[in-house]
Amino acid sequence: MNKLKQLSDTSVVIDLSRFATWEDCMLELKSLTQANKNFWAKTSLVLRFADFSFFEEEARILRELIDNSGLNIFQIQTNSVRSWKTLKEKGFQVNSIPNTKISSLGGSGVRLIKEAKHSFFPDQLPPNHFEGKTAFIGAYETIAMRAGSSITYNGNLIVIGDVNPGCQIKLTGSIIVYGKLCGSVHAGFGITDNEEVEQVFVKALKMGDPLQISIGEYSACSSNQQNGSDAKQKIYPETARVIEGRIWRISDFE
Amino acid sequence: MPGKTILFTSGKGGVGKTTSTANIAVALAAQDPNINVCMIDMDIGLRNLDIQLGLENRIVYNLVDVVEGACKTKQALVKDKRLPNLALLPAAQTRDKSAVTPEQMVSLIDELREMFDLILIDSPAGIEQGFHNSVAAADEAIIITTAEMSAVRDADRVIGLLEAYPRKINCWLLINRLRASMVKSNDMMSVDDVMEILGIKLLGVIPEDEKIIVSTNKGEPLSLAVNKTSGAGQAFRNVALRLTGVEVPLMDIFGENQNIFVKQFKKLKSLIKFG
Repeated sequence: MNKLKQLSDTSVVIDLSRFATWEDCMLELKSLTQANKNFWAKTSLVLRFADFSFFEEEARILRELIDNSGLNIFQIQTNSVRSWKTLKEKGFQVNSIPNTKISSLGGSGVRLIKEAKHSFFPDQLPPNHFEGKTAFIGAYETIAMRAGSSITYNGNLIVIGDVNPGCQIKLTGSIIVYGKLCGSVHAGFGITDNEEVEQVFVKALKMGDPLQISIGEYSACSSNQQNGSDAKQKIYPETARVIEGRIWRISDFE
Repeated sequence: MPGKTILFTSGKGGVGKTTSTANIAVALAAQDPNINVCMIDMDIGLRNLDIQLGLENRIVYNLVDVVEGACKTKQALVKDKRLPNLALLPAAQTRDKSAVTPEQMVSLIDELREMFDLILIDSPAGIEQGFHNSVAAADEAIIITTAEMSAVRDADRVIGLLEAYPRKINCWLLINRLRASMVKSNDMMSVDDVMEILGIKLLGVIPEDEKIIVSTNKGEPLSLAVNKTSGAGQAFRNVALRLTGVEVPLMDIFGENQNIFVKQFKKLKSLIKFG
């Protein structure tokens, strides 16, 4: 059955993302699980809903359906971040849909050097929604990402080279840029827990202008708009992270 | 040996693509009568290259007529009135950029390579159909920008698009309309600032020059040897030399190497003017 995918040795994914309405999703789920109830009761399931928004009513119906059918739901996967809180309150474990594809917008080539199946950041405890992968993004010359290019990634990123203004990076983990960081960065995408969001960081050899940083649900932007030369500014590594409800810019060297 | 195709592009409009194409093409043809140079105006609907060369009255057929088969390529080529080894393939004025496809451009360029040593393509602004038509058969690209954040941002986007093309296209940077006084007072980005963002090899720097406006209106490119007093004209000639492999140092547009007496004289002259 092509709607079932093997996630791991113990979990099976039921992909409901192709259905447009909530009713269609529930009908499909019921028809799948009413046949071979013994099989489903012993199988750890992951339900995948794409961008579907779960409000109180939908979350309650899903909870009732699962409790009545005896299904063993391991995880709900959805990219609708606003649904996560509602689902967690109903006792579900929630995750974003794994997206291991590095996407480039408009053909501005972004070169993937290597993808590692572990975190590379030993001090960081991976949040429970995050698979802990790390990807290395390289440069054609010194510029890793040019204006107009974008990356969305489920994991951490290490970028070798500059990230120019006009770039967009969205990732579920943390990011280190061995170069100048400009453009728009959203790290810790999907994290709503305050303790987890404080573990996420954005590091760069130079935080450039213009720069928009979002970590979890918090956002900040650089205030200085430089018209002339900024080539003479000192370069020292900086970190941005959330501390007590706002994003702080911390210099590693003073 | 088949001809080489050089694309002039920028992303942003108004930075000097057409002016640079005209001046560099004229300089290339003037430097060596044995080199046949062809210019193609790809700005279909908004053509300007013919005006900058003073050839607007000599156009009978255009690029779109050629790709649609209404005329032969040689019939559409307009020979320059000053240089016999220079020709222009003008754009259509009454059509738009959807009138040509990249495949048609590849076929046309293949035909022109047999006739010319250098083919210079003046790309329209933007990154839509006109840009893709222009890139289709380009061997090298000259990215033109001014020292302004918006122009540099758009140039960066274009370089990214060119780097992602399946065919390798060498990119060169040409910084246009640089004002030394503004760079010194930190009101304009310097050459280093632009190169730090764009990260490609520098082909040349063209200083701001009022004579460009006069030359554009008259249809007489500044790089013609008759007008040697123009800084921009000399800079364009230097770029043409570099394209043919000659090593030419960058012009000293900041005046740092000037004799101290020349500097003092200029200072005194400005005091008298405003005193």
